[in-house]
Amino acid sequence: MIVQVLANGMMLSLIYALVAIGLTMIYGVMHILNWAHGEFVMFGAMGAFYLMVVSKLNFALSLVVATIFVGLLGVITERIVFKPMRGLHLPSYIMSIGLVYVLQAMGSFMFGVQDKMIPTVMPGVVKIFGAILPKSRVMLMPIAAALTAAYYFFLQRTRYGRAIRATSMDEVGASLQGISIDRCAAIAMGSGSALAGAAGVLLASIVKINPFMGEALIFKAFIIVFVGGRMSLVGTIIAAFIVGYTESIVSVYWDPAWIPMIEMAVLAAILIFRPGGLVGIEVKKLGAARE
Amino acid sequence: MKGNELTMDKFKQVKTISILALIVFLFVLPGITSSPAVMYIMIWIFLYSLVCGTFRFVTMTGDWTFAHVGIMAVGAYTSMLLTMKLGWSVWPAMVTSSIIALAVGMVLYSLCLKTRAVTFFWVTWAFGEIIRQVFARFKHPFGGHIGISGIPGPTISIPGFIEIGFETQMSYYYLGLFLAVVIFLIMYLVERSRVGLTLKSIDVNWELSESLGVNVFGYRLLALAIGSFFVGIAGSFYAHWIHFLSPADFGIGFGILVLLYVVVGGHKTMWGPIIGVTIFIILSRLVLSRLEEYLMPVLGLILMLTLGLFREGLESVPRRIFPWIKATFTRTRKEA
Repeated sequence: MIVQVLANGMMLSLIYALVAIGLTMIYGVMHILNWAHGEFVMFGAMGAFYLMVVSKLNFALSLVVATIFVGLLGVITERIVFKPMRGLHLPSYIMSIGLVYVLQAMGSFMFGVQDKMIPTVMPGVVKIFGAILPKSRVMLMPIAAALTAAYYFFLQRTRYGRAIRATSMDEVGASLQGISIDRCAAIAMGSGSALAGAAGVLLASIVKINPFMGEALIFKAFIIVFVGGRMSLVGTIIAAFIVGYTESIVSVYWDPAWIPMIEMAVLAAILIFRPGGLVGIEVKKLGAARE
Repeated sequence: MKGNELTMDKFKQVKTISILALIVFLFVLPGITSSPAVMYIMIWIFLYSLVCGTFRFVTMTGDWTFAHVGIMAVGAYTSMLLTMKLGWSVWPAMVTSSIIALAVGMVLYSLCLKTRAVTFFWVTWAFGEIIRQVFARFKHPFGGHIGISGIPGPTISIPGFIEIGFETQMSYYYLGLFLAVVIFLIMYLVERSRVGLTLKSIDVNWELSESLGVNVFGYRLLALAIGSFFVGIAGSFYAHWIHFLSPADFGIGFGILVLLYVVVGGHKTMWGPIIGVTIFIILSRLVLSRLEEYLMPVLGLILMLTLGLFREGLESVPRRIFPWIKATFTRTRKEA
């Protein structure tokens, strides 16, 4: 039982981490809380369904293709929707809410509103310390962990990763060093959305897919981003583990109906006593549209 | 310069007259058409204007609260409890519930006021959600997830003289109109006074205000308290008009809608929320009656287009268009 709870918590946490890391990076570079991030997860899942069921590709290939597809979608969105609004934070928030409705409608017109499933990727179960776990769930953990690690490596070691981190620390300073803020925003948005798409593909193998699956995720992701501290990768991962394990433990040993309340209480407490989140810095001003 | 002042005076006169004309028109509207559908939409517009207008009032200090809808739920539920469980009449319950909403708001916001900006937004989001979850969790007094129905409507009765029961939509129309006019008038007067200017100065630069001796914490709390009190009244009105309350009505969706109307309408003046609410409610009712499944994407597209074109909201449309028209007309006059 305990092993099962731990394994489930681990799986949830890793998937939450994948979704929330992208959101944190987009927030860090563009100062936009992208409400439509959950819809990118949905597009990833839908892409997996089409690649695996209609085009009969295997799981690994469709993971790669769907991730790239959603990443490109993210870049296009950044160029069309967010680039004209750069620096206007409040209208951009509201724009991204409008984008949620539009993308959900696109999803339902393109894919239909009924629930869909993809075929089980790895049939069978494994036994770990007496707990029985489906192989398809266990398989997700190394993939999600590897993606997170790869993104961490990308941010820490590559040129563009450094540029993104510099931009999120100080925009003016970064552009004085010859970093193109526009390109950085596109890369951050593209890579963040790609991670969301990958999370969608992974989710598709364990839950039902429908055009509205992003809604439940996006609020969890917001909680994680703010508990962890914005613009901090490590904080986000820690927060993802806190939320994931809270969820798996509470839903087994107590009533799942209490989960939202507990998460909200944790969020409120952390923001009151540590306004910058567990790891991170506080942003001073919600820059409304004022020049 | 003198001519400029004259036109400014004229502009103000035109504005005052048109506002008075609008209020008079709204008072006689039930005489022109008293169809329940029109009344129903108009009451929704009054209610949403109240919620969004008070929200806009709070944002004058730069505190974009997300617990506003939660405070409204406190007002609504308190009013429900007082009338249904304690058997109070509606009017004292309305006043008491808005005072309770004020008290809850004060306690909650004084915890949050350490934070600012985005952080404030999300702390208040968490608190609003906690309030809603409390209403959803406890079945006994609040009715739980399913909600509670049969909330009595108000009556006006002076024994032996007059007896008015609120049975038609028209009576609620007048109640809503009365509340909206009174509350907007109070907010207008506060905004124009010294207090209002102080509140705005906090938004522009709170550190500078503090260094000039402004009690920033106190003024922010004051704005939030006024907002909570009025939105408590709005919540109570909602409860007695709809006769049904459920926690789902005060969810994140409603909060987002309020935020959306205010930003699309514009938050610089108190007309912005009214414009946003009127346009979006009429639009959504018109679209909804024809093609329901396209409602959300169409609204989303309109929203994105409006914000892309007019970043300060719809209230800035005349400000942007008038100079253009004026330039065009003066040119034609010169040519002629």
